[in-house]
Amino acid sequence: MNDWRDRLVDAAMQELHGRRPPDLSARVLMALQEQQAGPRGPLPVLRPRPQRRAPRSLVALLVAALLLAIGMVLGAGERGPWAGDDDGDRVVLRLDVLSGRVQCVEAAHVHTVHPGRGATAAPFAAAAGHRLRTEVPASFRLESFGLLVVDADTELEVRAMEISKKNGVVMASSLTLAVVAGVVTWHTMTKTETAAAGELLRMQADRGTEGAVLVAENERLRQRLQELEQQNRSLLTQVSQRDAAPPPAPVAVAAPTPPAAEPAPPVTAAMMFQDPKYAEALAKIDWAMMGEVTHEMGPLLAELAAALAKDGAEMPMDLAVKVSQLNAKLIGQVPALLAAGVPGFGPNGSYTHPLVVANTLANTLAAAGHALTPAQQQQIEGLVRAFSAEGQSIADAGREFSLEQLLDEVEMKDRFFTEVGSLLAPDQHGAVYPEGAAAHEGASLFNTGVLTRAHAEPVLAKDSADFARIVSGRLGDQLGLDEATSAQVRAVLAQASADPELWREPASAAERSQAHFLRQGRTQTALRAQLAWMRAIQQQVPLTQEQRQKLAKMTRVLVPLRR
Amino acid sequence: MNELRSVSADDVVGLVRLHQAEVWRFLRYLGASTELADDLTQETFLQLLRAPFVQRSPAETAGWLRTVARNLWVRSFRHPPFALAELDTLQATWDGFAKDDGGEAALGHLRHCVEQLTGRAREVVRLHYEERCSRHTIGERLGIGEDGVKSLLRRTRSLLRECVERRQQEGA
Repeated sequence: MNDWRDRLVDAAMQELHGRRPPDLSARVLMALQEQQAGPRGPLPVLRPRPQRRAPRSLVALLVAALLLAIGMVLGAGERGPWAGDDDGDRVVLRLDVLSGRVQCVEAAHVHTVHPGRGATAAPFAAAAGHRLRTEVPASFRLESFGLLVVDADTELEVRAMEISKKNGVVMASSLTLAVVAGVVTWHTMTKTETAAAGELLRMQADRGTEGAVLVAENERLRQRLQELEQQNRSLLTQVSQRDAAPPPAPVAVAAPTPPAAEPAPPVTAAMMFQDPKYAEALAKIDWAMMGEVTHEMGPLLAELAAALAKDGAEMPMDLAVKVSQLNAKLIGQVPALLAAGVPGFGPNGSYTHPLVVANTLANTLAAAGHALTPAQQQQIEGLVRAFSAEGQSIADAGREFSLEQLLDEVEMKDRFFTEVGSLLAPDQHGAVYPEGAAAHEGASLFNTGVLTRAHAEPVLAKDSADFARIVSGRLGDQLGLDEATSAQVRAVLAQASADPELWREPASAAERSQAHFLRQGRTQTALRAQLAWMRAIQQQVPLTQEQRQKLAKMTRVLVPLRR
Repeated sequence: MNELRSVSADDVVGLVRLHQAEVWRFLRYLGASTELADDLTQETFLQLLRAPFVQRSPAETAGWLRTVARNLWVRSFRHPPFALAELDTLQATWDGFAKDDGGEAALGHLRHCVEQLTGRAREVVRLHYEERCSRHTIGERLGIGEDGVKSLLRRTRSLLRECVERRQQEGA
């Protein structure tokens, strides 16, 4: 067999075993939208690509001639102003700070980046040892790696990058950051991951998400432009009226008269439920916007999950882009939540705190035209107080495994959502839980799927033995296990993950889809099983102290999905 | 003869959906890593938006896209990993595999052929493609040297290719 035929079978075999072609529809759709929105000009570049060096060899010149002959406009893409700095050990990434400020420590060079509204993203030279620091809570996008939300006094160090480099073309496809201090949460359209001090955050470039985020950014800028134009018109009107108006009459002093009885104003969006501990910081959250966005996003999420539940369904890109735009608005409020110190397991734990949920719910219902009645408000206030106290005790409790806190929180919040839901009138319930929203984790913003989804990592496997093989491999890498210890872990896993409950339902289309909409409750079941096998590993496998600590700090729930 | 027409914005998404898998697959066949294949596939369709492209038949569109992809791939090297004289061979090999459906049917045949494998051939496929073990590890598990693993993999791929071709001829 000649080399080309062998290579062909090899590539096909790799495709059969998971290296599948990507879906580029989103990127092209985005390019078309940009083209249609703006004046005719150069076509948008989907992703900045570094300039390729001109071919120098005779063969390359011949190829160049061939290209000219067939009349193609071969395009190296546009580059940012910082292009040209890439070399084999570092890649210059665009850093777009959305809130707070981020300090870039690049060897001896230090510079601080402030919110830049996308158009003025700053360069960050990603190289091993280079760091990103924050003194205040911040959120920022790092090129195509998605959105990072960090706590105050967080420090991230670049540990490793996977880059491909061909003749001067450097592209980063994955980036590993060590969390030196603080907490960071990484968001993409399909994934959320949190890492705390001492942990590693492994990010993959997500070009589909980048597309969606860019579309969201375009939309935001377009809205901002409209606002400014509106303000401008309003100011011009005021100026013309002032110029034309007669001088104001002197103010007559008169005895105050009692105000006329007016109907009570409608309930305006605001922070309806308070807790003095967090009042100041939570007052900075735009609750009205949270309510409006949640009201708009709820049905879209359910629709997205339903669309992906059909066998062979492709990601409905218009819908996904819209959801991503709305989600970006919610994520924009996360730094304020973190600054408030609202307890919870990671940012989504804070987001699902009873106090936050109740305020979001009140504003969502107001946006839907079904505001809470005073009686409902009073009843929910009592629930918020009781469940907030329980949440605080969960956060304060000491545990062997970090994931135990997640399980306790999920169980407590499940009860909270059930109790609050039972207080709603049918039309209110319908506004908060659109049809189909309860079927999948993450398809509703008012259940614990919001929390579990942030930590769930689906593992497609044939059975418990297959699951044990895959997971023991990952644990081996994460904990630094040698081959013999990995084999012991694998044996424990195979036994502990054999619970038929985990394998009863095969992975559905929605679960296998790009968005991984897991069946409601799937992660919780897997979490219980995982805590059982983590305990079994601690008890039965001889781990070093460091390995035990790493195991105890795991924050990902490996959810078995039967193929 | 089909009417010639420029590609419109409405056509592009449809064309991407129709041809993206084949373009990506073709680039992988040429030896591009998955990441580079992603990028070059993207760039290939970008040319579709930029270039004075006219849509003829699906087969001709596929051919045009393959040419763009191949040239982008060649252009990514200072020294291409093959001589230009080989272009005809690689194209003929691809055409024989992909036929007129971008390789979808051939992949189906290959899946069937893999299921028919037995013994060490099956084991080496599992270890190399499914578990992604190194040659060293595979060698240790099968009790052979790394060169032996390389030969076994090559023989197995040859068997698979013959099986695929047989099924293609039979029209299975």
